[in-house]
Amino acid sequence: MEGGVKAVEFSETAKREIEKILSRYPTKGAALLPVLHLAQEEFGVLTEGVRARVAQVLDLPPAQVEGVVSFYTLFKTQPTGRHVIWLCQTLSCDLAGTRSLLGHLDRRYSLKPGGTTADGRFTLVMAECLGGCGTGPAMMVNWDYHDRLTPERVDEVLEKYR
Amino acid sequence: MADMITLTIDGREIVVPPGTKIIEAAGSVGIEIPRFCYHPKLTPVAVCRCCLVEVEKVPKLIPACATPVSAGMVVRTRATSEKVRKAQQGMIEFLLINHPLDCPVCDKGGECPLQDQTLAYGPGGTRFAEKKYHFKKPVPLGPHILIDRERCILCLRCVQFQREIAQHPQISVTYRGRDSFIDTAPGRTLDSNFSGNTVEICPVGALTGRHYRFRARPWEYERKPSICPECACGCNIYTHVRNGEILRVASRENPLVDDGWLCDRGRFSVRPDEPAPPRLTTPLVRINGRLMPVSWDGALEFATSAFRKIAQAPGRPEGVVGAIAGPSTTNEELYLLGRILRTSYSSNNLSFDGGASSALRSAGFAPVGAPDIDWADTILLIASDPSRDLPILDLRIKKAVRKGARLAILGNTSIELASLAASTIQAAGTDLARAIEEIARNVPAQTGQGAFLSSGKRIVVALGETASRDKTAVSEVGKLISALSKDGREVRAGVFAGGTNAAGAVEMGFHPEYLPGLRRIDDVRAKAQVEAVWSASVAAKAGLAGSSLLCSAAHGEVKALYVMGADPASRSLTPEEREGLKRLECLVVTTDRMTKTAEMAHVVFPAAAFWEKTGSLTNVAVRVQRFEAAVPPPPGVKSDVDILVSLAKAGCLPLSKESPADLAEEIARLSEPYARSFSGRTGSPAMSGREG
Repeated sequence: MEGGVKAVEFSETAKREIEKILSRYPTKGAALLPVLHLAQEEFGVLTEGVRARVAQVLDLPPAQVEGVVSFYTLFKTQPTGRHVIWLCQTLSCDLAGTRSLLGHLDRRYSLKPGGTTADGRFTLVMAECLGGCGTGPAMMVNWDYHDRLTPERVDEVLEKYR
Repeated sequence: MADMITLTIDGREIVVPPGTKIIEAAGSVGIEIPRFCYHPKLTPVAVCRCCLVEVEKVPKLIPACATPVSAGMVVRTRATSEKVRKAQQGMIEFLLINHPLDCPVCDKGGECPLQDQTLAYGPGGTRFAEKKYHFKKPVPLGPHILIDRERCILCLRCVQFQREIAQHPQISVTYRGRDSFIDTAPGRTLDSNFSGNTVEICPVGALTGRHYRFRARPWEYERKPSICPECACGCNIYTHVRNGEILRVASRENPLVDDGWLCDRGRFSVRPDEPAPPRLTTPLVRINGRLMPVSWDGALEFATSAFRKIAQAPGRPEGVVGAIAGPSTTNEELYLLGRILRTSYSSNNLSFDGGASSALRSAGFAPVGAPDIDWADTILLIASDPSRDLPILDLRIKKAVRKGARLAILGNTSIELASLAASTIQAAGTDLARAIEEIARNVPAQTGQGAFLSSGKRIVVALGETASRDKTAVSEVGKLISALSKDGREVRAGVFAGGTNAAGAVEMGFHPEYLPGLRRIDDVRAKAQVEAVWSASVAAKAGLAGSSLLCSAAHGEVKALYVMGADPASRSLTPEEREGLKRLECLVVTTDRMTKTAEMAHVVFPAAAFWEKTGSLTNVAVRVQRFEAAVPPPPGVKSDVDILVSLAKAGCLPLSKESPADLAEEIARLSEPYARSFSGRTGSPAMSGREG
C-alpha cells in the first residue's frame, strides 16, 4: 500500500453495514461521515491505514478524507485511553472555573490537555462549547454529559469510569 | 434580447446573460470588486469574503462571486455603500492578522493581489497587537511546490484547481479554524503534472516553485512572450528574463491553445537552480582524428568543401547527402535546410527526429486541436495518451467531459483519461486496425462503440502517433470516418502527435516524401509549383528517413549527413544504424552543447539554443506560432538559420533569400497555415497571442 501503510480490512459485518449505509446516499462521497464513524467503531482509531482504506472503499481522494477526519474533533487519529474527557474551554465555562478543574486534573491524575493517564484510563481533550453555558463548567466523558462541575464533582464522576 | 437580465449596480443599469455572477456583471462595466478566492475558471467557494456587496431586500451582505444576477436586482458595491466598504476593510484586516507581511523576502511581493488589494481596499493599519501564529515552513507539497502556511489565506484556489481543472485532487484543507492548512494526505505528494499552475494562481506568496523561489523580484525581470517548446501543444508563455537569464516560465493565456494553463514539464523545463550543461561556443573540426577548435570561416570552408566534394563526385549521384533535424528546430530552419538539401544536393533524404506522421493529414483529414475538442460532443482517442504526450490537451478533454462531451477510448484502457471514458475498448498492435474496422462496421449496425460514436453529432477522432504510422490502421480510420460522416454527423480527425514542431516539419517539407505545403514529391504539378518558387529543380525520387537513412549510410550510399539540433547517436540504435553514423565521410552537427552525435562528427557548429532563436513553431493543430528570442546567444554562437545561410554563401549556392523577412515571405508562398500566421504587409513577425 502507498506510503508504507499496512493494509487494513473491514470485517464482513462492517462491509455489509457499509453497503447498507451506501444505499441511503445518492453518491459514495456523501457516505463519508457515517463510514468514518463505522471505521472508528471497527478499528478504534482512524489510523493512516484506516483513512486510506476508507478513501479506497468510497472512491474518494485520500486528501479529501484527510480534510474531513482532521476537521472533526470526534474522529480519533491517535490512540486514546479507555475513557475520553472532553473539557469545555469556551468562555462561559472558562469564567465559571475550567482552569481550576485543569489544575485539579493535573495534580490528582497527572492529566494534561492532549495527554493520557499512565494507567491508560483517561485521555483529556479540550473541547469547544458543549452547550452548557448557563451551567458551566461542563465536560463530557465519552458520550455522557456532566455540568456544574467542581474538583470534587469531577472526582465523583470519574469514579464511575474504570 | 429576451433572455438577458437587467440589474442595477451602483446606480448603473447593466444587461447580462442569466447565470452571470454579480462580480462578473460588475467587472463587465469596469466596477471592480476585491477578491481572493474567486477565479473565473473555478467554481466559486466564497470563502475569502472580500467580494461582499449589498443587495437591496437582502438583510446581510452577500458574496458577489457566488451570487448569480437576477432581474431587477439592486446591488451596491463599496463605491456606494459604506457598509460594504467597512466590511471589506475588516475582511482584509482579518486576512492580515496572521499573515507574516514578509513582503521583502516574498516571491509574490510586487505582483501580489494581497498587497495590491490591501493598498486599494484595506484599512492601512491593524488593531491586532497580539503575537502572530508561527508554523513550520516551508513544507514541500510535491516535487516542485512548497507551501508557506503563514502566508496562506486559505482561499482554496489551489485545492479547487487540482480538483476541478487538473482532476488530480491531491491537496485539501486539513484541520479547522485557526489550525487549518493546505496539505496532501499522509504519505502522498502533489505530483500532478499541473501543480505549477497553483503557484501562479495563488493570490499570496504561500505556494512557491522550488526552481525559482527567492531568485528575483518581479520588477527586475522582463516578460517576453514566447512559445513552450516541450511538446506539440505549443502553449503560449512568457519568459521572465533578468540579465540575459531566463528565471522562469509563466502562462500567457490563449483560449485557442492552452486556456491559460501550463503543464509542469513545460513550466519547469526552465530550472535556474540546476547547473546548465556547458555550452559549445567555438566551431570544431576533426583534424588528425580529434575535434579541434577552429574559426567560423575555417569550419564553414571545411564543411562546404567536404559536402561539395561528395555531391559533385563523378556521376553526380542523387541522394548521397542527408539531413536529420531535432524537435526544437523552427519552421524556418527546417524549411531552409530542406531547400538547400533539395536544390543544392539533389537529395530528398530529410529525416525529422521528433515523431509525428503525415499519414492522416495526407489522407486529407483536418488537424485536430483544442478548439476542435471544445466543439465536439463525442471524442474518440485511438491509441493516444494526451495526458502523457500533450498534457494541455488532457486538460482540454477533461474540460469537455465536464461540459458534457462523451469520451471513448480505443487502445490502452489503463491510461488516465480512460477513467473519464464512457466507452473503452482495449486493443494494441495488429489488433488495433481490426478493432477500428469492427467499430466502423458497428456504426451502421448500431452496436458497441460504433453505436456509441454514431449517437454523437460532432465527433473528434484523434489517432496516436505510433498508430498513425500503421498504414492499415490509418486506412481503417478513414473507413470509420466515412461511416460516421453520415446522417448529419460531422467528423474531425487528426493525429495527436507529441513531438514539438512535428506538424511544422511536414508542413515545411522536411520530409522524404513531401515538399513544403504538403505537396507530394510524386505529384508533378505540385512539385513544379515548388520548383518555380525555388528557381531550381528537385529530385523526383522520394528520399530516406529515420532508420533507412542511417542504414543506407552503412551501405555507403549516403555519404554525408547534416544533423541540426538532433542527437541520433544517443538513442538505442541497431548495430547497422550505428555503423551508418560511423561510415559517413562527412558528418556535420549543429548543437548548443556537446552530444554523442557531435563527438562522432567531422564538423561541429555551436548553435543557438531554443530560447535564443527567433522563428515559429507549428502546433498539433497546425497553428503556426511565431516567437522572438528571449535571451541572446552566447558570444561565438549562431542560430541555425544563420549557419545555413553562411554555409550557402560559402558554397556559392543559389540562395537569394537571406533576411528572415524574405525567408518568411517565401515560406508563406508555399504554406497556407504559415501564410495565415504571417502579418503580411510590414513583413514583421506578428507575436502569436489572443489574436486568434
